[in-house]
Amino acid sequence: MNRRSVGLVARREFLEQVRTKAFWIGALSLPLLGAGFGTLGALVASIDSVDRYAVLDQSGWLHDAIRRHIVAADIELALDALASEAGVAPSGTDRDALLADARAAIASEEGRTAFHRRAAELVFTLSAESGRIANPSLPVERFANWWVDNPSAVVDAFGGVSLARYREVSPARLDVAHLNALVEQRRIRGYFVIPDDPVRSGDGARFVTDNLTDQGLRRWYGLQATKVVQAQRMRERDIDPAVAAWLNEAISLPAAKPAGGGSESASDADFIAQWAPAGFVILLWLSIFTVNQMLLTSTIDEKSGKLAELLLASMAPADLMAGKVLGIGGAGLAIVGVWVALVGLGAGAVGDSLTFAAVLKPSLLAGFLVYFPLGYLFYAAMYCAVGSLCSTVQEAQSLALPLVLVPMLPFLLVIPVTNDPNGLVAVVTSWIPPLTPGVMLNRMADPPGILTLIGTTALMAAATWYMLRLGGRIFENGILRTGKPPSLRQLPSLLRGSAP
Amino acid sequence: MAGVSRSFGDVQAVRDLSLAVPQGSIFGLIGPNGAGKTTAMRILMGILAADAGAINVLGESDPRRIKSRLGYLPEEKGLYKKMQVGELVGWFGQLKGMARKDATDAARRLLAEFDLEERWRDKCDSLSKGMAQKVQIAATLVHDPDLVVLDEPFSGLDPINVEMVRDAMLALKARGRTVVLSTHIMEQAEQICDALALVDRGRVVLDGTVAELTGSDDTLTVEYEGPGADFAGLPGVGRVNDAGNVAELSLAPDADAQATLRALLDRVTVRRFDRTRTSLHEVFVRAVGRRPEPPVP
Repeated sequence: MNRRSVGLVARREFLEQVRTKAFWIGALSLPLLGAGFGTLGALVASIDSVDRYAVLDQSGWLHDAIRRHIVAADIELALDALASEAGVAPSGTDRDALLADARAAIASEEGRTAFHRRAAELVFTLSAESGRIANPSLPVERFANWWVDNPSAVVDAFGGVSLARYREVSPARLDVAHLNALVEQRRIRGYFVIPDDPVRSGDGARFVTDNLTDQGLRRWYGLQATKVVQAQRMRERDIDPAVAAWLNEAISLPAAKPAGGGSESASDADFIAQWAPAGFVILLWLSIFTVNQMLLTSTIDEKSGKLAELLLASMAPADLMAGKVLGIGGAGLAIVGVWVALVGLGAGAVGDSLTFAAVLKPSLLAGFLVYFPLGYLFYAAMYCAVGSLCSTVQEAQSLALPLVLVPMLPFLLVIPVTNDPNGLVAVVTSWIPPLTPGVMLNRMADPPGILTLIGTTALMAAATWYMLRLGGRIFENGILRTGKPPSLRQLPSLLRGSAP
Repeated sequence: MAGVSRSFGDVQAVRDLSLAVPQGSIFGLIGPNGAGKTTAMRILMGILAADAGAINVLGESDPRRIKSRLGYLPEEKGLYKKMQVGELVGWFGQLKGMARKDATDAARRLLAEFDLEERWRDKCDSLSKGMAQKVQIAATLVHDPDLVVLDEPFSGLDPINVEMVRDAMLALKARGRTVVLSTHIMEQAEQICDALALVDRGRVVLDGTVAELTGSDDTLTVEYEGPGADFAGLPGVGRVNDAGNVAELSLAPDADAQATLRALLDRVTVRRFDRTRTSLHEVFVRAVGRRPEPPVP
């Protein structure tokens, strides 16, 4: 191999890639798109539309109870929000007085608990007709009044309350025909039908809608109804709600990790570190695919641009291929560098250096530095071979389809391998060379034994070497071919260098 | 090249082909499309290996070992579109083993020779076809090779550029370099080449110096006026190559040219009447049995 020729080709390929605006747009677009989609998602969630609904209550009492329950739950939620963010206040008529009341109430744990209890008691006294409470002189009563009278202000102040997502309407007529018409006219998402005796049996309850995919409203109202009915059933059987709550209380098993002779609670950083290899696997395959696409395009350009023969008069085909693989691989590493730098800047911007440090563990970085070259070279040989046989990107796409599907497998393995890094799936697939880089990198959270590490890496290295030889042979005989790509039947003669 | 053969599958591109190119000469390879010229040139350059036979290029049996002494301009010519002209020519010089500075200096000198010095910083995709071809030739010659192989070097060039490239070849020859070229343009081959080989179906059909190939004065060149002249049956005339206003008539060995002229005057108005050697075109037609393909515009 002529190192000088390889170096010259590699340098030219690298510069040709990194000098273009398209390269930097491509390098920056992925993280920026990720950040953009994240922001857009949050924005969409924040401007989520309100689902309006009506209720046809045949019991005569349940919906009023549910309504009070919803208001109570929302007020509690708002008070919790006030408690954790004492500086945030609702806008609206009673702002200053309400803030003063709320701040006083949440000054101590005792005061907060008492305030919750009183608020709950008060809202339960709300009547469906007036929406007023008995004694408006109490500060919490003012709060409840404000709540009922100003739903939009409530939503502005406490975005998380149910009013922000679901709002009841009061139609002119509460009959099925009219409600169906409202559904068809899209004025309401749907309406609930409550049967005569929901405490005895829920049979006959239903949600009428023409949108069967959005289950949010149905589930939410069903949950509220269930809580109210359960409370009624407990009262009828003289069951203490506290006893019922105790009976239903789940056993919590918070994750912990061994520490010396005992254990300690797992932190967010620990969870992130556990999933970090999966992130690196995705980074690995994204970078390998991105770079190999560049390699494929460059090879086809060289062939269709009628440059190959001119170049082969100056160097061996193997030198040309090696230079291309190295130069474009270098450009690929530059892309990865940009991605990592942007993620680092992002983490720095949100001040989460602990999490970033947890992700960038030395074992992961070392794994990436070993498996990126091996994986890249393995697939680079295939992509170079395919590129040398094709004159257009369209031809290459159909020929390269199987080559795209095989490397997708590690993506499918990310979850099972992350969940059980030393399970049967992980152990077996570690020894299958096209999958080794992705699977072994994924296992780095709980690295296997040294023999497995060395064995799988050596096997992958041998497979990569063989693939480079095979790809080089096809490249050598394919780069000067004209016409359509060869059929499978012609491949042996192509490898012998005697194909037409 | 001695007894060189090369096949691709069932296609025998070159069969038992032997060529001897005198050092310091301009040697032409002529032949119809698919005759095996390009395959022969690729073998000569070490781009393809021969299935059989032996080659000796500048005293070396494996041309790959002396790539820095060889220059090659393939028939299908391309450039890196986004590279600057000067950078590209210098880069090819470096590929041939030149130091960066030497390659840059040589590129500057050659591009000036080809009237392209002002395009030094232009990207290759901004060049016209003729300019691009001159850049390709510059990239082929930048390292001052001992043997230059040019596959259809004149295709796509206008007459002024043809002259420029021809002068460059003559300059190479004057410096003792050897040039092998293929061309479809018989007149140019006749003018510039010291020796020629006519290749057909992978074999050398004829070879020798131009004088040897074009032989004795057995051709009449007639420039005439007259509608639809029919020269068949003229006394002493064999093959006729009539181009409309000018016709080449092959004379039989014992033919009387004066009798032919008299017969001609009965049929057309003769403006010029020359007894000349056989043209290369005619040699080609006689040897191959068909006309050469027209030059690619």
